[in-house]
Amino acid sequence: MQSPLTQPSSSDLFKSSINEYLDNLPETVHAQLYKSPETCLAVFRLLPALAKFYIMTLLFQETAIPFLDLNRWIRHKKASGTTHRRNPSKIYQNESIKRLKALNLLKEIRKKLKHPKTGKTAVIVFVQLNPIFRQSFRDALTGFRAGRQLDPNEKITETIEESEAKESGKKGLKSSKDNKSTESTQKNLNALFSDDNAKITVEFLDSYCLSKWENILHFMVGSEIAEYPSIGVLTLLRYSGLMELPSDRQRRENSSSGADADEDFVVDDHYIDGKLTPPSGEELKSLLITKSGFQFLLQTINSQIWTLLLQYLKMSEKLMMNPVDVLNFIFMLGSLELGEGYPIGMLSDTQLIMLEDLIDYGLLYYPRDAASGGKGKIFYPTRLATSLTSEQTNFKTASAALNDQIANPATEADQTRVEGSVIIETNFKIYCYTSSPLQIAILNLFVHLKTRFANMVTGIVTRESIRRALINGITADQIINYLETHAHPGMVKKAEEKYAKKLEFENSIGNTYAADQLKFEILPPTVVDQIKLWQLELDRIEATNGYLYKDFANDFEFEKLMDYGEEIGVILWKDKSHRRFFVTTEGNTQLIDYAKRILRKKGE
Amino acid sequence: MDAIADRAFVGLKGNAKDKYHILDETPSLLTVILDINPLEWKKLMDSNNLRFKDVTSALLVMLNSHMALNSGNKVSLYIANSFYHGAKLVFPSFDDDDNDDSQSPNSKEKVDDNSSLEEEKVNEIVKKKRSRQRKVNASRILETTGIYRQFRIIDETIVDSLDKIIKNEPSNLKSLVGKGETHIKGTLSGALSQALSYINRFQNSDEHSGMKARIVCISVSGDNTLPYVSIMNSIFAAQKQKVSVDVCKLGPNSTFLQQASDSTNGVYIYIKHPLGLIQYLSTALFIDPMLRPMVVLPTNTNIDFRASCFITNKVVDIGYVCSVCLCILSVIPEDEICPTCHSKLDHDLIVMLKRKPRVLPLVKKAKRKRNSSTPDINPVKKFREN
Amino acid sequence: MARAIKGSLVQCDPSIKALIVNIDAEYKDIVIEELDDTHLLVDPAKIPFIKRELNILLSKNMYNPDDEVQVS
Repeated sequence: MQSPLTQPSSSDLFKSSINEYLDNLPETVHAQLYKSPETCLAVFRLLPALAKFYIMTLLFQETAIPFLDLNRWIRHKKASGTTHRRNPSKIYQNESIKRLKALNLLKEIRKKLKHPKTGKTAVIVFVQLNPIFRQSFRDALTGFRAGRQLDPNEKITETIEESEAKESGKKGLKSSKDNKSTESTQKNLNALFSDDNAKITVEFLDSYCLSKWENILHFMVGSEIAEYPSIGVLTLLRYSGLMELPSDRQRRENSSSGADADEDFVVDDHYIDGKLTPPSGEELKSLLITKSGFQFLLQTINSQIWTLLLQYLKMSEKLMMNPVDVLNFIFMLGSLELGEGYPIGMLSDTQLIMLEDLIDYGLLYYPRDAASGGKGKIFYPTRLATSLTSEQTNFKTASAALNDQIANPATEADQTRVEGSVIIETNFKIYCYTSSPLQIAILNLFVHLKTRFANMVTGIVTRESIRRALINGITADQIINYLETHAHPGMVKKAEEKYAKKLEFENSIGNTYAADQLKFEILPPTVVDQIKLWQLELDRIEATNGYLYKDFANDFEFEKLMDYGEEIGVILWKDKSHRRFFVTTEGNTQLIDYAKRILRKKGE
Repeated sequence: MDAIADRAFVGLKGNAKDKYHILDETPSLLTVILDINPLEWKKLMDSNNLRFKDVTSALLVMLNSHMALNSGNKVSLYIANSFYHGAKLVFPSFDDDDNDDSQSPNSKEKVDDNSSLEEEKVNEIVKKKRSRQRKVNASRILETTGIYRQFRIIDETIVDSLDKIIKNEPSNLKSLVGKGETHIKGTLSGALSQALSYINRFQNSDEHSGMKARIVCISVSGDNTLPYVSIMNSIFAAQKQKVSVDVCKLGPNSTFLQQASDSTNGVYIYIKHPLGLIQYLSTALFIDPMLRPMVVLPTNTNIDFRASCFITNKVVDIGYVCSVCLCILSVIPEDEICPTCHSKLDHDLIVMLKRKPRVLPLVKKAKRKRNSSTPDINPVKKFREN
Repeated sequence: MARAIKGSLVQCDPSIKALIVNIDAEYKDIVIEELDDTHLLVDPAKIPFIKRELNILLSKNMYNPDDEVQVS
């Protein structure tokens, strides 16, 4: 079982995993990727806020700027004499720059410059944006693309224009969509144009993608479903280790002596490589959910999709699909407009293969009407696709759109994804406004459910119910995260008010340290703490891999290294009297670099 | 009570991550107020060779960049100081309540234009045609093809409405002059308060609750067009709402806007090289509200805190203050009644104040007080109410 | 010059630490270094083993309310 605190929270999961994936791509692939403005935009959105800011400052700079200028933006906390030596801003900055470098966005140039007064030469580090990225991102922002070669994506956008010109009837609809708050107008217009738009409205797409996606989730929790997901989906579920065949489970149980939840994501490639015949569709229907499958269920819909897409990426690499094509297509989806049709003609072959799979996940809608003879030529991205590169906040708008349908019992199935319906009280009682069997099934993973009403269920979080979940491989953080993302808007609002009040108070008495420490708490802290305590009960130790530094020759060396380590926040434990400290694995290389630099300086 | 409910757990990795995680995720609203006073723009063009078009395109890039930051981000644009519209919401355009938004203090004959709007509302087909026309029109101006959809919607709407407004300006000016109104009162404060109300409504809606917001003013007019009281009131409102007001100043420097950015934790930038405007807009004026606590704001520290006279609208060094409403005067009104609160001022005191200074030490008797509430400002004489 | 030892930092209660030291005494080669009351440096490969052993040891003396209910 993994240590609880080293595990990223589930909403973080998709971000960190897509980031990790992008980070590990070779530079040549990056260069190819950055040729597409859509991809640049998506990559940009995945960055930390400070990294975004740095990119913006560098975007319109023609020349490289000294690296130190980037530091200058960061406010340095005054040394108030406290032991609180770590500067969170600094750590955050370090992280941001690390990400920029990993993605090959930031290039360092070392120049030897003569000091104008002293005449000494010194090496100054200059930074510059990746020129390809800069060009594409500028293009994305300014809409200027002259003098560039056409790539497939560009063609798509062009043909979008053409198809728009043809469908002039939809123009009115588009222009009124300038703003989301004019939804009522939009609806009127939708109704107005419904005849030439057939049935493909935003509402239709929403309910389509949700039913498609929920079908997959229902299959995972094992509830009764009318139609099984396609073989492609089932294979992916198995490939990603979210589900397994009974035979897989047996094999796993035989080969290992249990207690290796870490290896749940182990994937057997035999089927991909064609060494064994893939299991038949019938066989796949008997898939069982794994521990990681349970964890998967607790994530937000957005991270669920990303988890699957990442697995898809990995699988596609094995199938010799061009990762640039695949990634470009995924990122392009994020920049498409909901409710618009796009012609498939301009997709590359790889992307056409993907199209089929994405339809299965409910990311795209592709009407196969018999009238036009075989397959249609237009595909429609659903909300799942268009919000791929967005935050969960966009799903709130999705639920807002769905709220209208709550009044309408005919579309009852659609309201199931309304996020923000769980209320949890300090006495551990849980109320959840839902009628979705799926959400109830998920809640049942860690809540002792008591009563069920027409539109809500009540339950109580108990030690036993949490323990059951923990033994299933769900972590406390995942439970807490699920409760947070699904918290009722009322709870969120209350938490915001409380946070603002506390912050104001701490600032008014000038206690900046306490103000920094303030947390934004949606759930009652007692409940959060208790859930964590229950987890600790099961898991009494907390282990982190890394390096222990000891046997320092003198205080100077020790202090120097420790100070640096503290500053970048990689030191987990220290013992001044014995001159020892412990560094995380990630921090180790940085620390060694620093040590070398010091040694070199000393040598000079 | 709170102490009991406090967290028992302090994560090993520190709270920083949690905090910055929120920082990365929270979307924000950017409201831009664009000063389009045509006379000032003319001056700028003559002196700096800076065209309105250049500024608009830089502004559009800035709005696009803001949208690029986070897909939950929103933008809105107000214009101020136009002859006809006064202050007006340009984006997002609420087609249906266009009439409400175009309320302007200067225009009394706006009925003409409304009739065409009515028409638009009534006849959807006309609207369809119009919007198509609009698209064509806008795309001709922008001359773009492959641009991210969300950006294009914003750009087109803005370019189109600005175009419409600017084209009407000359005739509006004429009609104003014809009516004998020569002094144009600035409507920046109007735009500011509209923007603040918009933000307030935005933040209180369920959909966007908790969204952070900031305002960027692109101002070209000098202080003489700014109504002091309403500007100050809007500043205090912004302060209360925790909305930063950033100022991008072209043309003459403005004391009031400096004060506005200073008291709202905003950035005041005087643009020395207007041709590099985009760099200013994408750097110094591009600091997201969530980043503010950790970033050094590129703003100057010496701010002119002087106020302006309520009667003459001129900035005063030493003046009189009404003891009832604290209104600032550079001259004593003829009728000895405070122009703001209409309190009667003490006649005897005024006589005393108006007296020529004598060389004799008798002056000690005069009840001159120093206003203690503004210690770092120049001494201010105070009236006593009757 | 300083030395760096690869390992896994285990943070736990003093009581748990005592238990781990106990396990180490039985099976050897688990604990590399005892750091202080609440920290230990152990062999990263042995972490799952330690956890399993700990759970066995703890469940031996854990109070189970369900048993109580059955008795009464």
